[in-house]
Amino acid sequence: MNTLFVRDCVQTDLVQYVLDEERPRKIDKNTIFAVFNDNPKDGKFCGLVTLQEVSKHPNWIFADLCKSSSPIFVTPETPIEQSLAMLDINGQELLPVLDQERFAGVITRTAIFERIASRKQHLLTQSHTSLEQIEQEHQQLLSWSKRLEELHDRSRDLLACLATISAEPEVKYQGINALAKLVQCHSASVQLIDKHYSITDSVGIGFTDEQLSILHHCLTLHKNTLPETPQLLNDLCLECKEGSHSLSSVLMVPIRRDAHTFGYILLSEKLSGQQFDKNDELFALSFAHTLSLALDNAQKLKQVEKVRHDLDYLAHFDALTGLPNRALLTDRLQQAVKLAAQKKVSQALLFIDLDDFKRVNDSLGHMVGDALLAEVAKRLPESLSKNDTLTRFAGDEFVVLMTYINEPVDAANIAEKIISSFHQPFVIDEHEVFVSISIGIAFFNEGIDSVDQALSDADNALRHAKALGKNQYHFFSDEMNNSVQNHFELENRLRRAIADSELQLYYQPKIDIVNGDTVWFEALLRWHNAEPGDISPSIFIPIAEKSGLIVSIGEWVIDQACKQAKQWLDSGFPAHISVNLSARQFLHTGKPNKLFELIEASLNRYQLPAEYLEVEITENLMMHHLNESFAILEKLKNIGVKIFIDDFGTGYSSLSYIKKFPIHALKIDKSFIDDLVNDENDAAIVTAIIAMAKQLKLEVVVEGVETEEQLAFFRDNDYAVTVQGYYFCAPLPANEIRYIYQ
Amino acid sequence: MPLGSESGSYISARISEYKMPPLRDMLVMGKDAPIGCIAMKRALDLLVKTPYEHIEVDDEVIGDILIRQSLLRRISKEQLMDFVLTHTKSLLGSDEVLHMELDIDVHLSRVK
Repeated sequence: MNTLFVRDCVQTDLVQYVLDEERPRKIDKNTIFAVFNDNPKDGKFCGLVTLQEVSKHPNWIFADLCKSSSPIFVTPETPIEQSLAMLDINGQELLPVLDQERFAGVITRTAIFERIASRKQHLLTQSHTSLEQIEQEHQQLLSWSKRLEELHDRSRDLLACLATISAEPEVKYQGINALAKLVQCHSASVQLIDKHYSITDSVGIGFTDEQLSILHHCLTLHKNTLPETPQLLNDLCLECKEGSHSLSSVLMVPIRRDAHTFGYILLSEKLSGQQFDKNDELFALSFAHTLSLALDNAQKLKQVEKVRHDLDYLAHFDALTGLPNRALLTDRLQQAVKLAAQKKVSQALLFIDLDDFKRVNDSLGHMVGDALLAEVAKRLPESLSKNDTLTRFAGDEFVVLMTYINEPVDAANIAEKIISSFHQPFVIDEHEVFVSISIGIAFFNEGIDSVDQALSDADNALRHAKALGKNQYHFFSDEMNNSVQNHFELENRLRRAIADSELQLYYQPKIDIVNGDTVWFEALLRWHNAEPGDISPSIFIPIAEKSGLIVSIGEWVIDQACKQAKQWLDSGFPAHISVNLSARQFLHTGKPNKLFELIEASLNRYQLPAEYLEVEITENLMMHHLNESFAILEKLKNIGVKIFIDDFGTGYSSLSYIKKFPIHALKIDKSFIDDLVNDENDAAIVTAIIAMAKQLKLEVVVEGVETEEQLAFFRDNDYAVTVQGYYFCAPLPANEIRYIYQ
Repeated sequence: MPLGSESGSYISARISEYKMPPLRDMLVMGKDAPIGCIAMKRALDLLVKTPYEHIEVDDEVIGDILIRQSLLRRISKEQLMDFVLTHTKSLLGSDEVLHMELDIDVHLSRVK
């Protein structure tokens, strides 16, 4: 509350200005005389005289009357409380008010009290008014609070929808739904349009398709004159005026940004039955603005994404061929270096160059040259696997990175395949273009350790291939060239070996440890070539596997084994012979039944009862080709052929599969037998396999028995197994076996 | 003068020289005197050149004293107030004004 001052209750209307030399004449009851020297206006103020003083000395002049008046005065700025105190102290009822020594009026106790009372009255009235206002405002606040709460809920829904930068359908639906709740209307819809004003997307609630169609037709008619602010459609066109859409009021809010119209929002039928007001328009406009931002953003993001994708493509791919370019190759090479550092895998880099490409360019033009490069880029992948990375390095140079490769000959095989694929001409427009290629190969046994070195090695190998006469491949190191050359020479010899009768089957007996009887013979392949002499199976079998010769060799083995078994049988030596089968035979030309047909044909050819033939497959072959192997083995078993699991214990067998498979016996791998006497672990494994086989009712063959101690292990433990090994007999030709057993 | 049927007027006058000032030494004014001391002093100031001194007295009967200023050279205000209150208060009504003439003898002696 403000302090009251003298200026608030100073009185002048009762004051009569008089000269000090005058005598009182006409006296009103409440008159107060202000006595001045010389001049009532400008003269020196002498004091105040009241009726009381005049009545005491009616004949005195004012100078004498005011002689006894107090020299105390107050100023307009003196607080009321202080003035009252001064009146009390001096026992007076009034005091002069001097403003800068000039008389300004009087202040009386009565006037002060009246002013205070008036003030209190005023304050009281004000308090009442304020209380009423507060009550009204409180009610208003309660109402607003409730409304705000509702708005907050709707806004939160709306903001949650708009929080995402994209304009996904779900977002638009939730957004328009929230807007409908916010403005409390029955129908709301977002209509997105293209530059031809055709609707590309429509999301909303309440409106029927027919209503939306009428409204859109109306908006299309007025598309050139549509305002940029919310507009009531009922005022816009005749159709809307006539209410074809049967809607009482429709508010249209354009979704615009940077002079681009993305579409519009339609709101209709306020739940309250009232017309849309300014607040509704503001809400809708705000939503439209935010939606336009989201749509604009989404559009720009799409453009940026496309540009980024294009740039990325241009940075890493060759525009002419669509192949990865040198930059991407460098990146892949760096990854290959990291892979090699972690896993020490073998890798190879093939540097491919078209022979005499310049001649093509010069004679047929650069257009044809470019088209040829594009065709080459299409043909090269036909010789590669999906793991290889083919890149256009520069001009007519292509590079292949092979990160999953076993040995140099694999790279050589790919190179051969690529070179062979170029024997067919390329047809460019009307030209038939013959072109050969040269390939430089850099092979890394433990992977690439330097990108530059790898490229340099492959490039040097390429130059060497060119120097040697083109249309060929060449390894970077002589050692590899020799190795690959030997490999192919050996392969060629092996190819002729069957025809030249250089292959021969040797037989090694398998002996029943309990009674010492020879129960089977394992047929083992031997190769004797006149020039290099005897070639170890460990050398030529992998070559046969890799080149696919193992299929024809396998056929020959089965045929020979059946033939021999039949001969022995006919000569009164009923010997069982087992042959080893390879994975290639199981998977031959995609005909799983082929192997079975082959074995059955051999048995039939020589009239050999199937019980005299056993087949051995490795544990790995069985597990890795479950489906193919199971079907064939089942058929073989059905005709009486026994099945042995070879190298048992070296792979990862599932016991459940062993139980299901039509297996007759397990052959414990030689690696467990070698150190059987000295290594407790090997002894434990062998013991466990024998115990397991016994439970599964499978026979056990122990191969690689070479010493008396090894044999004693089985005898001393009373293991009823079949043993095989050099301790008993080395693999021998058929005639020697026959001789021994006669 | 005999009583008769005829009426007559007799004028008796006492004529003396008007003295300026009308008072010589001092006026003692009652508290409720018909004229205030300021008015009286202003009148004296207009009539005579000799300056008069106004002394306010805090008393229930005597209100003010107007005294020729030169007399206050021979008697102090306190001595004068004491003299007035002691000797004239009983002679004065509060609505009266007394005119007093003062004889002030000053005895001087030198003490060795």
